[in-house]
Formats: sequence, C-alpha cells, structure tokens
Amino acid sequence: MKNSRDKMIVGITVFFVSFMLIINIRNTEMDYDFIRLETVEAFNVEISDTKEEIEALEDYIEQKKYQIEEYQEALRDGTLEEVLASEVRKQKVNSHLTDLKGPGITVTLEDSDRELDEGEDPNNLIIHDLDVLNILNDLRRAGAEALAINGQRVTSQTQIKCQGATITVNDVTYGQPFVIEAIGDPDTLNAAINAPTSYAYILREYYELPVGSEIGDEILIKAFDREPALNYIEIQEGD
Amino acid sequence: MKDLKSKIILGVLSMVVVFTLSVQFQTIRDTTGGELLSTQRSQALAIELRNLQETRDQLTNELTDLEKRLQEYEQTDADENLIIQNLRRDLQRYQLISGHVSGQGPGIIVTIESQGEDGEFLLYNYDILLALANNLNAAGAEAIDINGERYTALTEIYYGSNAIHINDRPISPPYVIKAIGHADTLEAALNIRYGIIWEIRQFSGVTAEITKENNLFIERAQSITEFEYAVPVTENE
Repeated sequence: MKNSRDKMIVGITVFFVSFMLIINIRNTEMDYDFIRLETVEAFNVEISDTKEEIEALEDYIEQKKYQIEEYQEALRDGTLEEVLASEVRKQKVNSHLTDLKGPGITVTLEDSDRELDEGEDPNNLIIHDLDVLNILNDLRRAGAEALAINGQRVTSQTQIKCQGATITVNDVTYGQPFVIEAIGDPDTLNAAINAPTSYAYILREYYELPVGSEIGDEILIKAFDREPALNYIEIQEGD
Repeated sequence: MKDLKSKIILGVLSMVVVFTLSVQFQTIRDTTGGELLSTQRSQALAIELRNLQETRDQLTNELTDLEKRLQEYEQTDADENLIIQNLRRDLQRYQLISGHVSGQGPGIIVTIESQGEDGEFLLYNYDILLALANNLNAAGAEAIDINGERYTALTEIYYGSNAIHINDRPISPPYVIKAIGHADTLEAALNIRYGIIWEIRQFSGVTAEITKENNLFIERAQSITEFEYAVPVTENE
C-alpha cells in the first residue's frame, strides 16, 4: 500500500464485497428462510414423482370405473359368468399361470472352465444364487414381462438355489448350462446383459464366466405348472 | 520487485475468486433451469408439491371407494349358481397371487438397517434384499412386501439418486420386509446357523431383527404391469 491508487482499489473492492454480503443478508432476513440447492433439487424430484403417481392413480380409477360398469351391465344382462371368467383369465396372466410368447432374449450361464489363478478362490469360477438373482433383477429392470430358468417360470414365490453344478428352481433341479429366458423389448433386454453397468458384464469380464445371450423373435415361456399354495394368506378384511 | 510480487498474488487471488463465483453461478443456473434462485421460488415449489399431494390423497381415497364397490360385485355370493361361486373363488385366489389385492395372515417382519459410518452400506448392496426375498420364498412365503412395495414376479430393485428403488419407487431405511406364511418356518429359515441373517450381521454397522406376527397386512401392488410384448398362448391353438 505505497500509494493512494492501491488504497483506492482495495477500498472499491471492499465496498463491492460488503455490498454483495448486505444484499444476501437482507434477502434472507426478508423471508426468514434459508434454502440450499439440494432443497430445490429434492422438491423437483418429489414433484415429478407425485405427478407420475397421480397419473397412475387416474389410470387405475378409470379402469375400476370401467370394470364396475361391466359388472353392472353383466348383472342386468345375465352375463356375469363371462365377465368373471375373463377377469379370472386376466389375473392368471398376471399371476404367471399362463403360457406366454413374444420377442425376447435367451441368456446362458455356465461355470468357468479356466484354470484357477494362484491362490484364487474356487468360488470365483462358480455360479451362485446371487449371480442368478442379480441377472434376473437386471432383466426385470429392463422391462421383462415373463421370466423362466431352464423352463421353470419365475413367479413371485419362486426360490432359486444354485451352487455350481446344478440349479434348483421351484423345487426342480437342473444341470448346466443354466438358461434364462425373458420376454420383453429385445434390445433393452440385450442391453441389460451386455451393457458395462450390467451384472452379467461383470461376470463375463472380471470373473471370465461364459455368459451368452441371444435375441429371439418368438420365445415361448410356459406357465408355472402347479397351483401356488395359499394356506396362510387371505384377502384383507374390509378392503 | 516487491510491488510486482504482490500484484501477482493479487492477480492469482482474483482469478480464484472469479472462478469460484462463475462455477457457483453455473451450478445455480443448471439446477434452477435458468431461473433466479430465491426463497420465493422454493416456497412456490413447496406449495405446488402440497397441492399435488392433496390431489394424490383425494385420488387414493376415490380409488379405495371404487375398489370396495368392485369387490362387492366380485365377492358377494348371495344365492348364485355353483359356476359363479367357483369363478368368484378363483378370482380371489389369483388376485392374491398376482398381488392385485391386499392380504393378511401370520408371518414375520424383518428389519435391516445400516448405521453410523457404514450408513450407506445397504444402498450399494441392495442385492441383500433380493437374497432375503429368495430365502423367504424358499421357506414358503406366500406374499412379500418391502417397505410397502409388493414383491411380485416382476419386481426390480436398484440403486439410483441416493436411494434404493423398488418397483421404480424410492424407499428409505430402515428396510422392513414383511412375509406372510408359516411364521416359525420363515423365521427358522432365515435364522439358520450361518444363514442369511448371520451373513448380514457380519457386515459392520448392519443390524437385522426378526419379529413373528400372528396377523400382518400386506398391501396390494401399486401398479400391475400391462404386457406390451408378451401374448397369452391360447390352449386351442
């Protein structure tokens, strides 16, 4: 600070900074509120989520109104049987108790036949429950509408047990290779198996397990072939 | 020489300040979409959200009413022939399996949570939830629900925007898994020595609790997938 010019520059800077600070302080004082960018972001996300929910609800309401009308008509015309039968068919489809066909993808999994690296865990060469579960999960995320493992339909009650040589699905055991079939948009499903973020990619690239995938124009996926057990659950009263 | 040195320092400092400021401005512009970030704006957002939530609640109520009326049509079996009675029974069965209606029955509640430094452990290891559901199914669970989301054949679980998503909805910890079935069997299957609960507890900071319930409720699925690609194969084809 030798001459007055320097002092003036510093003075002006200080003036500007304090000016900006004061504006900021006054702004908060007026609204008694302090917001952060994350807050705005969170609001935006929540708003768009709620909008989606509302849309889904409106669709649902529309559907229910239509169904009620159907029943009323059916009662008038004496066609209740048909309406009920078609409703049962629909619910069977959603319960995965109907054969389905459509475009999709076939994924094959096998244990690796490479030699173990020194000191490597043999488990790295073997397919486990969690590998299959994760691949199924990736396929569901890609919009799979029906899934089967070695021909066994995956339902909400399906359990998978897999430790190497065999896989047990819905209490039926199969040998290798393990074949997962999925119906849905073939390109999206294929991406769920081959994209670098997918679980299958990690299995293939890092553990060097042979994971194959093939797109099919028409894949047939059989229904779950037994009646699901319902011994404990009942419809919620008053619902 | 001294003068030059201080000038350089001053110059560098102002560059840093300008850089910080411009980054800040850019961030704000990106987040708010070019609009000014003000407290009024956040209040406007809060009001919009509240209105939307009210609409949603109204719609939910309306839907519940409609569902009740619909179930009256589907379930009353006052003096009707056998075929219709059977159809009604089938319908209820399949609605329960598909997750189309809420259910109740005995079962267990599993609560898992990661705490402290490892608070985010479960976020990245969401496949623990997949494994849990798989284990519960192996023990004969008839319906599973994770934080209010019904586990169906097509339920997907993934990590995104700092939360686990189930059926495309974000859920927040603790993670509560409800399963209807034979409570003792379900509990035993999870609690088996070196089983899944033991495995979960090995991770530091993760807690897992199981409680048995005589009667618990599991909500219906929030949305049922309409098939776009899959077509039912008719038997007489």
